[in-house]
Amino acid sequence: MAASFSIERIVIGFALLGLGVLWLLANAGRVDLLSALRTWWPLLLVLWGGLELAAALSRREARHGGS
Amino acid sequence: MKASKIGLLILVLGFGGAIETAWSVRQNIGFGPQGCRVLAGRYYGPSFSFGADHTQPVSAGTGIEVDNAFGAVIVRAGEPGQVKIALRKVVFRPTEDQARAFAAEVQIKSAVEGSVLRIGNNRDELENRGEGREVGFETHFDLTVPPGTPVTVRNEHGRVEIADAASADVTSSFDGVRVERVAGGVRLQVHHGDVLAAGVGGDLSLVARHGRAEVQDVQGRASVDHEHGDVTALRTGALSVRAAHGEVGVESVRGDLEVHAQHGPVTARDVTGAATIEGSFGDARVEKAGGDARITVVHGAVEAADVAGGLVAETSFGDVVLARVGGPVQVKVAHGGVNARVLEKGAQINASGADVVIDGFRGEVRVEVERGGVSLTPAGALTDPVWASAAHGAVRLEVSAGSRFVLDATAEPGEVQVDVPGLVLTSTSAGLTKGEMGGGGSSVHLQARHGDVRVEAVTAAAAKNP
Repeated sequence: MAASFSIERIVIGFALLGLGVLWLLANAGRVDLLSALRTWWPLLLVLWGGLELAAALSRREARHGGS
Repeated sequence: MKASKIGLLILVLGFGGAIETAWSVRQNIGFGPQGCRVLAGRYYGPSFSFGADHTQPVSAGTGIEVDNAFGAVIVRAGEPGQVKIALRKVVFRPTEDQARAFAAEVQIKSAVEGSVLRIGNNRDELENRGEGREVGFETHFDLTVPPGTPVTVRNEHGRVEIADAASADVTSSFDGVRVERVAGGVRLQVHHGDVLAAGVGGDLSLVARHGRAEVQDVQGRASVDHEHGDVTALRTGALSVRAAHGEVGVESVRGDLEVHAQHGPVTARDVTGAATIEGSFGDARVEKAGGDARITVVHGAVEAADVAGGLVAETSFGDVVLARVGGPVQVKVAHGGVNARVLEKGAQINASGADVVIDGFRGEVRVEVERGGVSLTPAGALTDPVWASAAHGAVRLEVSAGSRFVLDATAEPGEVQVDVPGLVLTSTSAGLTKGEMGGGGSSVHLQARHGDVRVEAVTAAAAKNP
């Protein structure tokens, strides 16, 4: 299970998902693409950081559980 | 840390940097009908206008002094006994509420000090505070003052308009100034803006840079000092103009005219007094001067017509064209010729590089030309002395019936041809002819080096040159 867990891929996945949704909304005239990207792009760093923390905690629990 | 994480981190940060850069570019660079503009500073973005009024009672004869920046100042005549101050505040903030809150702090300041009402605003106080330094705001004054009020305005970054005042003293920059119908004197100092002064009852002093200067209907003396823009003056008293890098156009001057211009043409029409023009790298033209005309140009042509007095012209790399000059003419031109018609009191001309043609002269004429010919036609019978010398060009003189003179003509190398009825030749040899007409009189000396000399009757010349 741990071997298939890739944080980088999740971050890239969320980034592509978010970019695609925003672009779609921008083309539909619902949001200003540049303004939305400028506002929300740091969320990628937050998401990545959260995933790294979660992964670290998961590894620690697995190590403690094993001993 | 794995290389893939480092790579992803660089990718994410690069993406964010690109987004921030694109945002910054979009905020600060505008594309529009005027092309591409780089925008920055406090005075861009959304703005909102708010008004404020104040009425200040004043006694008769009270002057006003307005101190402003970043906004227009308009002064006009209204009711006696009071000054109405209307201030329009334009505040550059993202929302109307923010702009309104800031505009509430922008105050009119007015106080009577002696015989002067000082008008301004609290910009300095606001800009010394934290928020005020970052907020762009304009203050536009619209003042209604008693008729015949002396007005002084100091303004930056805003236009100034004054009408129906007793006098006007304006210092302004970065926008236009318009002063009309002022009973007394006007003093204007303007940088970076067009200027109009019209209907000035007293003297006018105008110093301007970078814009167009227009002066009309000045009863007193007018002085204009202008650079980097055109100057136009119509219907003024005695006028003095210093100009650089622009055209000077003057019409209807009651008195003397003095123009010092650089890098621009000068045109003056209808000057009742003397006209003095010094210029460079531009042509100079004077039409109808009541007194003498003195025109000195470097690298430009000279044209003068209907000059009642004498004329002194000096130029280089341009021709001199004269018509109907009442006084003596003195011309010196390097690399240019002279074409003159109807000179009433003779001429003294030195030229090089082109021909000198005088058609219809009276009085003594003395012409010396290098690399050009001379053609002289007196207005009537020739009785005054003529001295003409041409190097590398021909000398031609037309003679009317009734002339009285002693001829001395030489052409070396060249020929002397004389074809005038009544002109008796007393000595003829190769290249040298002497004679007299009408029993003798003034000396007519014609000399050509590397050219011919031709003396002929007016009728014969007219037939040959219809």
